[in-house]
Amino acid sequence: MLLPADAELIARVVDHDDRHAFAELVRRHQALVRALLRRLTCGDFALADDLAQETFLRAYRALRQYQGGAKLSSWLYRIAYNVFLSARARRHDELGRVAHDVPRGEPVEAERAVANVDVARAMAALSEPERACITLAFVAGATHEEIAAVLECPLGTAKTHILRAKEKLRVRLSAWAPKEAL
Amino acid sequence: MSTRDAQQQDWLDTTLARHAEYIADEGFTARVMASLPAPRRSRLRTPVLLASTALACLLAFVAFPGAACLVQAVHDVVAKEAWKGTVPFAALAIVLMIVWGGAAAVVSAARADEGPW
Repeated sequence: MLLPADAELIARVVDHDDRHAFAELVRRHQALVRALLRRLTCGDFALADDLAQETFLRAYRALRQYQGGAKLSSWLYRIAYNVFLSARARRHDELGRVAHDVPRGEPVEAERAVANVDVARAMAALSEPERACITLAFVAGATHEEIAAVLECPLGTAKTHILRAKEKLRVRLSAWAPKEAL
Repeated sequence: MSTRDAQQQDWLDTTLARHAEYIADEGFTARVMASLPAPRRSRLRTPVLLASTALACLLAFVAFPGAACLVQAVHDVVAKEAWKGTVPFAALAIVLMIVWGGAAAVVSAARADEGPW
């Protein structure tokens, strides 16, 4: 069955308070919003899911203000980032320094689990804007322009964050680099 | 960009992308939906209900000879002893109506949970 586009679902929610339409929007975008928040909270899955829930609640309340100029996903990432910043302010900067355990879920092979921990640790060592930029780029597949819009910063700043983040990650994850790249 | 730089770029991009795994819903959407405020009702709902009730009363009044039949019915019930025998049937009818209403609500909620897709 051909699924309706985001714009059609948004119109249903705004015009008729269609809960099924909103549920479908949540289903479509939850994975990337939660992934972004998991990275931002340095692997605190429970907290990330709480913030993701808050993100979609805010999105529901503000859906009338969504202009459709940016992609819905970018708009949601922006809300998610703002929710994260608010939570961090409430918790006096505790966020971003959470333990970096092996992500829960399906068992994975040992090497991949170790790599996951290394990536999580390396990501946690980044500054917050760098972590947000690199997550948006590699988890959400956002363009530099979209990243700049989400973080409300100039395009050049977003690019700089990504470059610096990659430099730091390259050093911290050098153990995973193939020999010919070293 | 040298070959070595390109290789460095490649393995880092690959490593980061590989660890961006998909997160299954696992009830997340249901939790979000449960946290939403109660559905807003149409502003016209109350006026429409009141107006249709008033219209039904008016039609009943016009269809029957004023309130005479109602007065007569009350008079008959009070005057006769026979009405007492109908109480169990009336009670049964009320119970059936409540059960029917409950069942209709459950079916409606189940349909709402299923969603259109």
